[in-house]
Order: sequence, then C-alpha cells, then structure tokens
Amino acid sequence: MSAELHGFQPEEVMAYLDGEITGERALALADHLQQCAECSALADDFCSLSQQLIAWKIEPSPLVDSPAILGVEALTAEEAMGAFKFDKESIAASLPAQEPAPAVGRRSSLLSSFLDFIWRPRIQRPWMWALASGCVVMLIVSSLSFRMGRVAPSRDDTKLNAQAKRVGADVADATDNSVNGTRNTVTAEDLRAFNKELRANESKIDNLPINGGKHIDFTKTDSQMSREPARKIEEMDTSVHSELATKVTGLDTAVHSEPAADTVDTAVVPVQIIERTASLSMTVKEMDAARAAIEDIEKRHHGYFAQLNTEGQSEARTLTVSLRVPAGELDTTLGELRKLGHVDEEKQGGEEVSYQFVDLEARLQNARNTEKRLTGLLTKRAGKLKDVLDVERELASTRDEIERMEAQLRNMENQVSYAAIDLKLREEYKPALNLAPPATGTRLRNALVDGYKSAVESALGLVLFLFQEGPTILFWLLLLFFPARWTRRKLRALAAQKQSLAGAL
Amino acid sequence: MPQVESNQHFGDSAALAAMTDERLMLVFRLGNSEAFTELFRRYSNPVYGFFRRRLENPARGEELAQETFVAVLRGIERYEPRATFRTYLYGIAMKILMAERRKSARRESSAPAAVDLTADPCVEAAIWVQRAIEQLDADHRDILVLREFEQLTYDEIAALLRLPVNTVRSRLFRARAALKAFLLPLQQEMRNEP
Repeated sequence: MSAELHGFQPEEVMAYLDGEITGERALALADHLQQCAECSALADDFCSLSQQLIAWKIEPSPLVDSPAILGVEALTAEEAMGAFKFDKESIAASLPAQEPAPAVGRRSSLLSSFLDFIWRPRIQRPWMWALASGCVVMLIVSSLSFRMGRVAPSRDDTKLNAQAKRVGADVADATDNSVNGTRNTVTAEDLRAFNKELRANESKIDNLPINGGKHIDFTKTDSQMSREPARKIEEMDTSVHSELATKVTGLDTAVHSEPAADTVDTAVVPVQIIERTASLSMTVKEMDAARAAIEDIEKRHHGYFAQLNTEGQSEARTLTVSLRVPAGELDTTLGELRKLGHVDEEKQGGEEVSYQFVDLEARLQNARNTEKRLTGLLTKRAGKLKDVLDVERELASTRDEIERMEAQLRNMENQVSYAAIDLKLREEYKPALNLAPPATGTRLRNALVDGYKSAVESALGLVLFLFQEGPTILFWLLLLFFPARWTRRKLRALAAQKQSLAGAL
Repeated sequence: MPQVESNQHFGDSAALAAMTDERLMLVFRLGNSEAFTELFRRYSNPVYGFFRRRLENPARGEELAQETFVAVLRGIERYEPRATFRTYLYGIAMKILMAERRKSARRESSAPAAVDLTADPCVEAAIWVQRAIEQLDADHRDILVLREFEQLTYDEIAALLRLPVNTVRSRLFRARAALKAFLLPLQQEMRNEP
C-alpha cells in the first residue's frame, strides 16, 4: 500500500484503529476504509491480530480478593507512624466504638477513620511535627524537674519500684499470654474498678506523714497496672501494696514514733536496730601479756576472734585483732581493753539498719504468702500444662528468693547482735644491748667477704658506667676531634709565625 | 478547602468510583484512604497481568504487583498529576520489572519459559501468542504488550519509555507486522481445522 495512491500511511490506519487519530483526518480515513479494499484488508489484519492476542489471558490477580489490600494500606499507616506495628484487631479493640459510617466500602469504617486520622496532611506538615516534638520535650523536662524537686528516692522506694517493675513485667507476659489465648483477658470494667481502687489506696498512703512529707512514686506502677489481667491484680495488690503499707508503717514508726493510720496494717517494728562498731589503736609494754589479756577478755564476754594477726619477732611487735562481742557488752569490753596500754586512737560508730531489717522481714513475709498461694494454686486448680509449668517456675523462683532473704536476715541479725571491735596493738620499741664482742676469726672472715664484695661492686660499677656513658663520650669525642685538631694546628701555625717574625726581627 | 472536601464528599465509594485516577490520587493524598482502595481495585488486575506476562513465576508477579502499589503509597507525597496515573503506575511497574530482571540475570541464566497450561482454556492459542511475542525484539515487544494488553495510548507509552510518539507508532507497526508473520502458521492451522 503506497501513501501516494491511498493518501494514508499504513501506520495511520493502525493508529486510527487504536483511536490515536481524531478529527477530520480520522473522518477522512474512515471514508477511505469503506472505499478501499486494500486498506480495509489491512485494517482487518490489525483487528484480527488483536483478537488473536486476546487468547493470552492471565488469571485474575490474587491481590483483589485477598486481605493483601489491607496489608498495603497497613503499610501506609505504618510508614505514617514510623515504626508502629499496625495490627488491625488490636487497634479496633483499643479504639472506642463509633457510629457506623455511611460509606458502602468493604472495609470497616473504624479502620478507615483510623487511616484517615493518621494520614491527615496536617500531621505530615513539618511544623506540626516540630510542635509535637517540642511538646514532648517540654513534658519530659517538666516531669524530670518535678521528680528532682522531690526528695531523692530512698533505697526502700527503689526496691519497691524494682519489684513493681518485676510485677509489671510479669503482667506484660500475662498480657501477651492472654492475647495468645492461653489466659482469660480482663474486661475494661475490671480495669477501671481496679484502677479506681488503686488510686484510692494511693491517696491514703500519700496522705501519711512519711519521712517529712516524702512521697512514694506510684507513677510507674500505675501505668503498668492500667493494662493488667485479672490474675495479676490480686498478686499486685497483695505484694506491692501490702509491702508498701508495711514499709510505710515501718518508716513512720521509726522516724516519727507516731501511730500509723488505721488504713494500713500495723506491724511490730523495733524502734532502733543499730549495728555497732569500734576501733582501738594502742601501745602496750608487753605484747605477750597484752595478748593473754585479750584472750581472757574474749572468753569472759563470750565473743570470738574474727581475725588475729601478729607481726615482728622480738622487738616492736604488732598485733591486729578483729574481735566480735555481744552488742550489749561492747562498752564493758572496750573499758577493759583500754586498760591494756596507752590508747593512741579510738573510734566508735553505729549504723542504723532498722529500715533494711523491716524491709527484709516484710519482703520475706510477702514472699512466704506468695509461696502459700502458689502452692494452693497447684493443689486446688487444674489448668493447662503451660499454666501449671508457669506456676511451678514462679514457685521455684519465690522459694529461691525466700531462702536468699532468710540468709540475709540471719546475717543481719548476726551483725546486729554482735559488735565488731578492730584492735591494733603496738609494742613499745626496746633496742637490746649486746656487749659481747664478736670473735677475731669471724671479724677477719667478715672483712674478707666485705673486701671481695667491694672489689666486685667497684669493677661492676666501672663496667656499668662505661656501658651507660660510653656511647655519649664517644659521640662527643668524634664530634669535637676535628675542630680541636684544626684549632690546634692553627694555633701552632700562629705560634710558628710569631716565632719566625720574632727571629727575623 | 481540600481537607473539608475530602472528608465530606469523598467518603462515598460510589462517588469515588466515578472519579478519574488522577483525582483519586489527589483525594488519597488529602487523606482519604478509600481513594487508594478504589485505585487498587481498578489496577490490581492490570498490574498483576503486567508482571505475569513478563515473568515466569506467578508468585513473584504477585509480589511485584504489591510492591508497585507500595511504591505508589510511598511516593504519594511526591505525586503530581503531570501525566496520567496509568503512566505513573506503569512507570513504577516498569522500573520494578527492570530491577527484577537485573536481579534475575545476576542470579541465574534465564530458563526456558514454563507455560502454565492450566491458566487458560484456549491453551494452544495462548501458547502460540506467548511464543510469538517472545520472538519479537525487546523494544518492539514492550511497546506491543503495553499497547495490546495494558491498553496504554501512544502518548502514555512514549512518556513511559521516554521515546518520541512517532517512534512508538513506527515500532508498534513493525511489531504488529512481525507478530502477524509469526502467527501466520497458527492462522493457517486454525483455518485448516474442521
């Protein structure tokens, strides 16, 4: 087909069939196709070819009816919210119920609303992000300053928070388990009721005059409790709050000596538990006699030596003793020890361990209660194997903790019931007078040995000197040799010249 | 106000279905995720077919199709309706396809095409068409497939492949002529059948 004869290129026919030619040119080509058999056959070929190509069909996309469409949109949400993992069910569960939207789309209106919310352009604007970041920073700073404004948390509070953290971790585990279906989840009403009760208890405890108005931080515990399953609520209440109450009572009694509020369990707490220590540094005339006296004192007061060291042989001997005596006999023992010689230095100290003692006892009691409850759970309830194993593991952990705390308690009781005395005795220096002269042979032999040693030492000293200073001397000799020789020759020449001049004159 | 418009009038899926692709993209950019659902519904099959006709592995084609839509999502902030959405979408698909081909070339040499005989009832005709298209030059094949199967216009193909429109037209003409020659035995065979 030539363009000169038909007025149209074959490509134009193809383009016309593809709808790429419009206007007058298209009308003219349409008329031409009706009249020209050759061009019409060409057009039929193109149509036939397209019909043949239809035979290559592809199965429908599996993406259309699959949940992948939600996955794609979830990715949008994830990207919009950074590293936030999008979980449709959890989000739907966490969001409050809304009225059904008029949209007739397949997806739920709740999910659409959520995606719309996180994808709003105003959140994408940089200044909004900057403003939000600033607010977060301000919140953190104000929170920190608020905490620093309070008294620094004591060791007890730190321990309490640590335990609250532990319980929180357990709670998180339990929450995960509940999601997996191994435990029953807690309803929102349960959580609200528990939080209400918790706040009531907090306000009661906060109102107590603890350590000069010092408050105990419940923030972390509260935030962790807000997502607690029912199983942990009871445990949290008994372990954390009971311990809190006991601790608060102990602190209150020890510091203020006032009765605690009736809302808190009152525990019998000793007024003061003090671990006493003393140290004595003395000079004695006779070390043997002093040592015998110390041993006598130790036996009479039913004490014991934790450590005993002696140094020196005959002159200026020293004796270091770490003595433990019953706390009630410390003053008497010290009085008797002072009589042994001249006291150079004396120190006494007492560390109050009432808080630690009470804290440890309370924790031990709570751990025992927990052990009883866990044992009861094992004997009474028949659950899944995983639950039983969890309880067994928890029971073993609790027993281990009980044993550790009992050992700590015994050690603390021992430290409190026995006072420690660190005693350091130094014997007076008495040089011995030896009037008998040594024998002549001995003196000769000693002189010979000393002479030999002196000769060896001097020879060795010379060798060492040469090794040590030789390189330096050699270096300077080489450096100064030629200038010195040149100078010497010049001087000789000058002298010879003067001599010849003098001779000539 | 675009925000108000997106919230009030674009919530109806019927209204979304009546919109053009480019307008749907703008609505989606304004925050309406239903617009993207509509776009996905329109183009999930064509994009899947785009990859399916060019790759041997159907599962990989599905993955790449999804990857294409993910790329659209990621680039939503940069989208400007300078060209048609189809050009934009197939441009992304083409880039993903090229990357996939580069990866495949590095991994292993191209194996002979495995034809899924269960994909279509007219298996024999489909095989003939597929093999005839495979015999075309790569430049001609891409243009032909974009026109015949993806139904892109000459302008869209030119924009996608960055070629002049006349070049697209002439190559398409040559591709069809060559394909006709490859398919002639099939036509004769089909005509000879009773």
